Amino acid sequence: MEAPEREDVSSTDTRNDRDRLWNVVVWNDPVTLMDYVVYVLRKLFGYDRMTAMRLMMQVHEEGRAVVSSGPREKAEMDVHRLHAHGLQATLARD
Amino acid sequence: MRYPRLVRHAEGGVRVTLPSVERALLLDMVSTIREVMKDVDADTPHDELVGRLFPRAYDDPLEQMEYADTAIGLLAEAKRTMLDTFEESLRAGTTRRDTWRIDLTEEQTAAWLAVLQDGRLVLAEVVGIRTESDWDDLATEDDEAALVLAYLGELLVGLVTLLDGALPDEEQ
Repeated sequence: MEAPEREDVSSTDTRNDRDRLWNVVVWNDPVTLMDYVVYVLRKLFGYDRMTAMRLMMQVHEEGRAVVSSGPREKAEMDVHRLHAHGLQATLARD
Repeated sequence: MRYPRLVRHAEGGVRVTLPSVERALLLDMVSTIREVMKDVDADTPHDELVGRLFPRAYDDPLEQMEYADTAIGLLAEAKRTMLDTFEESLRAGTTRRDTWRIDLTEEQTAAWLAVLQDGRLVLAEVVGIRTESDWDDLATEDDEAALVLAYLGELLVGLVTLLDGALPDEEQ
């Protein structure tokens, strides 16, 4: 019996992984100021003030909020930019 | 006469006017952040303090390791560039009668925001702020840290207030 071809499996996984949407999650922390979170979300993602405030309040009250979604590469870049601004952010599969 | 610490100037940046003692405090903060970041790389496990400046991106250890392999170095470089820009601006400007003043460019203003945020994160971690209720304990246990955190927060919000008005209020 032929052994399964590992390359096919991994390339399928890789393709699925690339096709899958990833969420960028911002987490609440007790130090970061609300006004600063609103500003960073507006600056990085172009949200209007109301949307940014709603997301900030969701972070504050529920502990987390999804602030953007996209392919893994874009989501990683978004997380990187949030980290550069001192926000606690992670990636999660959609 | 009392002067405003932060004023938007015509070229798009911000004029900062501070007592010299506040400028000295900000220079001390730069040294503290540099000390925290001095040995940061992808291979060294992060303690809580370093983790405040370099948070995890993934829960999964393998995914985090792969991410950190490239991202930690880039993030450290970005943060060091911001620190350099911030420190250079603090060492520029003019001082008269114990009052220091500088007109920040937009690039310098962005560095101020990022470094003030990192400075608050580092100091808060050092004094043990991990939950909202820790703030109440801090106010009674460490007046000086509470004052510095409040001061840095006031500067940060002042900058945000000036800059936020310049952002378009329509989703892009």
